[in-house]
Amino acid sequence: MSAASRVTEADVERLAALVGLPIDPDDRAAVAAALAGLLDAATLVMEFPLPEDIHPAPVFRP
Amino acid sequence: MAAALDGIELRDGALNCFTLVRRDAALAEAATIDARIAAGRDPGPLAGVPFAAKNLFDIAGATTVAGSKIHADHAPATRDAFAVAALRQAGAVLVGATNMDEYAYGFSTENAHYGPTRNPHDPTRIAGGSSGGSAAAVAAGLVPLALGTDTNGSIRVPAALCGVFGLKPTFGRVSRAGVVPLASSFDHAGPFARSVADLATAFDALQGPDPTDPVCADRSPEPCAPELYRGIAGLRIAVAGGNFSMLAADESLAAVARVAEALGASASVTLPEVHRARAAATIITAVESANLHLSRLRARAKDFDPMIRSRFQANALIPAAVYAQAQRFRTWYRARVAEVFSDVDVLLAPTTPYPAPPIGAPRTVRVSGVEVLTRGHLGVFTQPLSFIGLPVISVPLVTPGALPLGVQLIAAPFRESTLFRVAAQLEADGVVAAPVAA
Repeated sequence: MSAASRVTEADVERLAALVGLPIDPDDRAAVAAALAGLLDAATLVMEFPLPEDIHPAPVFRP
Repeated sequence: MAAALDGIELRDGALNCFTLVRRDAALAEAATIDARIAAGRDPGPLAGVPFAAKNLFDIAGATTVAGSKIHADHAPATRDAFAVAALRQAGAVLVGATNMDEYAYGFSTENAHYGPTRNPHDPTRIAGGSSGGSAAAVAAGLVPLALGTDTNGSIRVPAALCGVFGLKPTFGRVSRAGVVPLASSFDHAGPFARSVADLATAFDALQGPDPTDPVCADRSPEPCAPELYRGIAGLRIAVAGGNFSMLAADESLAAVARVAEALGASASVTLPEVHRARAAATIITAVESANLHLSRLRARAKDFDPMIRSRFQANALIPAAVYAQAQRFRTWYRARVAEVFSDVDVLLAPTTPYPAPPIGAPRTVRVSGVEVLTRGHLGVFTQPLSFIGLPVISVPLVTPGALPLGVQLIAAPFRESTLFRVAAQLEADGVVAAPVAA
C-alpha cells in the first residue's frame, strides 16, 4: 500500500537531529518510506474520537 | 534423542532452522531423564521430548543473540528463561536455539546475519516470522515442540506458513522472563507443535504465575490437556467478517470457510475498527521498540540488519501524542471486543492473507487489486488480536500440492481451554493436521 503521508529525506534529517539520532544519508530514503507508513497509521489512530474518560491501557499500581 | 540430533545435522544445512545445536548437553540431559525413569521417579509429562527455543530466549551458558549481530557480543546467559526452564522441568530436552528476524521485528525470518530460514514445504519460500526457525523445525520433523514469541503475529504467522499448530496464549498467561523484549505491551511467549495434544501439554507446563515478569497474571495454571476431548457441543462459534475477510487471497478465505463448515459455524460477527486496532498496534510496537534500541541505533546502526535498521530508525521519529492515543484506543477496543465475546465463544479468522511468499520477494505485492507490503501485510489479521491480548491457536491446513495455510481460533482472555477443545475436534475430524514436510 503506497503511503498517503509524504515524508522527504530532508524531513528525516531534521527529525532525526531533534532526537539526536544520526542517520546515514544512504538510509534516509528507506527511513522516509517507513515513516510515511507509520504516519498513515498515526492518522488512523488520531482521527478516531475517544471520550476523555478513556484511560491508557497500561495501569500502574504503586 | 540421538536420532533427533542426527536429523538436525542431516537436514538443517538446507533449512537453516537452528543457530545453535546443543548436541552433547542434550544427550547428557536425555541420559539424566533415562536415569530418572530407571529409578522409578516421575520424569514429567514431556519426558525426553526434544524441543527448540527461538534464540530470543535465554539459555543458561549460551549467548542470546536475538537474531542480531550486536547481541552476539553479549556474555552467555546465566540462567534459562522461565519458559525454557518450565519445559525442562516437565522433562523436555532442549536441543538448540532457532533462527528469527532480528530483534523479532519481522514476519519473514530472512535474517541478513544468519541467513533465511527455508520453508520445509517449499525451500524457495519463507518460513514466516519472526519465530520462523522454530516453526520450520517443527514442520520438518526436526523437533516435535518449539518455543516462539508473538508480539504482532510472530508465532501465528510462521505456524500458518509452515503448516503447524501455534498457540499465542492470553497476554500475561505465560511469563516472558528471560526473553529479549520487542514491545512489552504485546510480547507473548508460546509453543509450536504438530498435534493438539502436544501443544496442550506444552502449554500446561508453561502457564504462570511468575512474579519476575511484571505482566504475568497472578493466576494458577488452568490445565487444558484434560479438556481436549470434551467436544464442542454448546460452543458458540462464528466467523469474523468485515476486515478479516478483506485484502486476502481466495485460498486464505476458503480455509476459514472449510473450518467453519466443519464446525457448523454459519454466523458472522464484525469486530469494530479492526483497521485502527492494527494501526494502533503498529504505533505502540514502533515506539516501544525504538525506545529499547535507541542507544544501539545511535552507536552501531551499521550492525543492524539493513531491512530492520531503517524501520527502527523511523520508529524513533513518531510524535509522542500518537503513542498515548494508541494506548487509550486499546482500552476502548478491548471493551468493544469484550461485548462481542458475550455472545460468542470462539471466532474464526484467517491467520495470514496468503501463503508463504518466495524468499527475496519484492517489497510489495497486489492483493484484491491493492498494493500491500509483502511482508508487513502478513500480520494484517494477527495484529488486531494480540493488540488486546486475546488467546489464539493457529490451526494448520495442509493440502497436497498446495502451500500450507492457517486459521485462527480466537477466544476471550484466559479461555485457552475452549480453543483447545475446538482444535482437538478439528484434528479428530481430519480437517486440520500438521504432517511432517518431506
